[in-house]
Amino acid sequence: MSKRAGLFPALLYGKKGKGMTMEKEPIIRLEGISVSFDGEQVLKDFNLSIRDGEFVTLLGPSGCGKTTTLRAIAGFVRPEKGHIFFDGKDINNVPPHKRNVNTIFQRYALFPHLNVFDNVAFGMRVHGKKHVEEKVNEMLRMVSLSGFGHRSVTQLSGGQQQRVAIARALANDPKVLLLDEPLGALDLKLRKDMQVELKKIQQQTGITFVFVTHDQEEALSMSDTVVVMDKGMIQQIGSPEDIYNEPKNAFVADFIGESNILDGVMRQDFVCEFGGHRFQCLDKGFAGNEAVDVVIRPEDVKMVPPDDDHICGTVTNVTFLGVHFEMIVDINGFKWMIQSTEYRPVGAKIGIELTPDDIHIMKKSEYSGQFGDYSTFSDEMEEDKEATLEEEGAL
Amino acid sequence: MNTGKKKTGALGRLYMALIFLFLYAPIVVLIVFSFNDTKTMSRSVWSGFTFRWYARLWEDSMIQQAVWNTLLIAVLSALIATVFGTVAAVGLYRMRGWRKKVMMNLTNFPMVNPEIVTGVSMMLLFVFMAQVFKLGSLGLWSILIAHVTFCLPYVILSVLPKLAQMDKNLYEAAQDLGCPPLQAFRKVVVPQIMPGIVTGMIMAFTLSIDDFVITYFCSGTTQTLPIYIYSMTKRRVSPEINALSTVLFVVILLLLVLTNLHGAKEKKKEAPAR
Amino acid sequence: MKRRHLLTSGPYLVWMVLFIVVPMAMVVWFAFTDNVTGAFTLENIVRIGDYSNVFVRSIWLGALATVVCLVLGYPLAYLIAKIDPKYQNAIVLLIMLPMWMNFLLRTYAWMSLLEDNGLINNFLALLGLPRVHMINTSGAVVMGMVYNYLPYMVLPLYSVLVKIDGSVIEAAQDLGANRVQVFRRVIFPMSMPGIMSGITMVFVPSVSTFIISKMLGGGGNLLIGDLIEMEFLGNSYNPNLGSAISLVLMVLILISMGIMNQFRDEQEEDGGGVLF
Repeated sequence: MSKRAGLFPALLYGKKGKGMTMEKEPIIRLEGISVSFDGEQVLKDFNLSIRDGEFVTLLGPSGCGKTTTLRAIAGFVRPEKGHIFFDGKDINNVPPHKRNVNTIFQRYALFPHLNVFDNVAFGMRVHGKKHVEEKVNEMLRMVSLSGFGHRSVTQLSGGQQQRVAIARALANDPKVLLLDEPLGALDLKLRKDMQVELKKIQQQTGITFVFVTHDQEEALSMSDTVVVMDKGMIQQIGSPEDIYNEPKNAFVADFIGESNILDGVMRQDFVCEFGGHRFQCLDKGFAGNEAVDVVIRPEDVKMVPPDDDHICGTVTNVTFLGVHFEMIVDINGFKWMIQSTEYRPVGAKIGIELTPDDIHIMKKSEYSGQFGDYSTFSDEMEEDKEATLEEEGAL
Repeated sequence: MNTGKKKTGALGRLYMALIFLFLYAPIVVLIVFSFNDTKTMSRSVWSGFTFRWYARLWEDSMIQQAVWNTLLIAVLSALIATVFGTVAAVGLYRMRGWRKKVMMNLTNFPMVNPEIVTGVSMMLLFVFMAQVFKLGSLGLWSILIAHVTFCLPYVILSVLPKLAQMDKNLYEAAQDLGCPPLQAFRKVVVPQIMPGIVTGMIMAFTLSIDDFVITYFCSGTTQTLPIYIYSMTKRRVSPEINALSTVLFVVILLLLVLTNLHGAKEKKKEAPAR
Repeated sequence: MKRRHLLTSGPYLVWMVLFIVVPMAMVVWFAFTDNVTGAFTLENIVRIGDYSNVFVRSIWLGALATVVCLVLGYPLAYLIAKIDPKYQNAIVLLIMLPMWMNFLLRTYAWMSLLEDNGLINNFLALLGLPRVHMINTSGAVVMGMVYNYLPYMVLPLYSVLVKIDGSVIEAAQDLGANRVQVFRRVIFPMSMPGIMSGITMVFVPSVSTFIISKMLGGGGNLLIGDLIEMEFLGNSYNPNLGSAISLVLMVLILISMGIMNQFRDEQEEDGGGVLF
């Protein structure tokens, strides 16, 4: 299990102080929240607790309700049912401008008629606070934009606008910062830098971050806690390692990382059968002969010479990806994805070896069977979907 | 500005209703009194229903001449300004630096200059031209030149944005595929900027039909519809003008409804293509 | 490449020089020459001083009409921008529809409403209220200007307001601004370009109109436009003086537009076609 932590270095420091915050009263608690737009349920009886100082990520495909959850916390969406508690107080009827949370909007929503300084100072001026100048300069320093105060925000690059948005929100001293896919509009390199920077800011300030994204890598690398959502419901809550290693159902397994999801049967505790073979595994507590979903991560598969003791198949496609090869292997018509540093040519017959540690068993769910063959979540398809959603939303 | 889904409050509705009353009451009054059988020589006392004014409008040869002149000038000036303006827009689009700035200012100038100043300045020139070239008095020719001139900027400014939106590589792609430049322009560029050209032409046409101020100074003794309307308003009571207003209003309304229906259909056609 | 410029925009340049620049030059020429002798003179410009009251009245009435349009038009534009987008186009069309009627007819309609025994007064009499003298007053002139040019104020305001991104307003609320603060600190300043073009679009035609004043203002409310008309086509034929007045009017308008553009440029710096 620990071997994977290395994949997400941010996890290591993300863990710090976790024990301390564990016992704290949740700063935000959503209780039985339901929201629907035009008769379509976006959130169904949604429950979530967020601890003070935590970095929580709401992760899921578009339309899963993650942004709605965020907007409900900010006060832009009124839940039909349920309550939102902030610091133990019900804030259902508190308008957005009186909530001590601030939002980083998807496309930053900077005020185009104000310069950088005035954007950052906006919240303080509205509240009639003193020492505006010092605070603004401090904030600009924090996001490395010192000296940019008099620039027009429309002349800034995407990354700089992003920083202004962060400074503007933080200048208000929020208890909770809500981030709505803030890195979506940035290019890959910048995104990586901003991930590190955001994490740093969160640790410096100790502010609770609620981060919304559909990028699983982003979620895994930055968060203390990941909330995987789909269809307005929470599919799984857990640390990034738990989510990756112990997905609760086929949806989570598919959405997080790449996986081969197979139909299997639990013959007894610690024994599972799939692909015509029996395997030792680490899971128990299933009914006798219960049908289950079996998750095998592509990087866990070991290739061996083909023989009767192993599942065997034919390599149909090989792609070189730098660190490793990605191979598609046809096993009785089911396509597996295997990642390995060893090369096998197309057409090669191979056997597959799995240790109990490589096999993860999940209960059948409504998502079973939806992810045929090897499945990877496609960002491109996701963006298409999002574009159409935005068009609809714009009306 | 789509902020939440709040409905307009009662106060807001009332305000909008009042504004619309303000905008439409005069027009309604105008239309109603076009059917007024005036005997009392008043514009505002109702004394029975009649079609008399419409009949008189129909027989009025001066009006017919004015309508003919107006349409002739509008069609000609819209066509000339559209062709001329589109070609000019292509040239302007490719220009850079101070040349472009000069040309843009020259284009904008007649749009911001008070109409009356444009009108009298042209009058000075036309009177001078008439004397030098023995053109007799001002008339259709001077009105036409004036209309083309004040329509040109509108055509150019509706075509330019379409050119800017166009993928710059299209023109090159057409040439790359073996299309000679002129043909490439006609087959690739023109269809792309067509919406702008059409908008410009419609604007030119309506501006020309509607123009009074500039025409007033450049028309000599030639009558166009606005000029004729002006002379009618100077008479104390002339319900004919109400009848004329009604006819014009109905024509405009019909045109707008037709173009909007057409527009809606086009949109529907486009929709599935997304 | 250079040749192609000439081919496409050359004729346009020639046309515009011939029919815009040359006439303007003639206005300047006439303004500085004597009516009879044709010799250079400043007398025309000096004589404008006699009409300073007309200038003051024009600017005052034009400004008044502009302010009324802004006060009436801003809430209207704001309301339209906030209603269901499905209906917005229809309402904007309704605002524009009266503009499609010739403005002479629109102004004529008001004549029959405002007359001493016109509809409004008849209506007042019906209610037993005293009649009010409205036609041939400066108030009637302002009214006519507002009626004719209100859409010019509403449309630019609406198009700016409707473009304001909802998330910017949410951002302001999120940062703690209440409704009044959101309006004062975000919506209003962001609609500044619309306000400026609305003001220009109403003020320029108001200040230079000559029909509205003639039809609704009677003889006592002479405006700059009427003056120019009289010098060119009226009884006091004197194109030299008329040119001088036109020149001053033009300079006046261009200066005020320059000031307006100063405000606008702070926000949108495209450097495109803005005059000067």
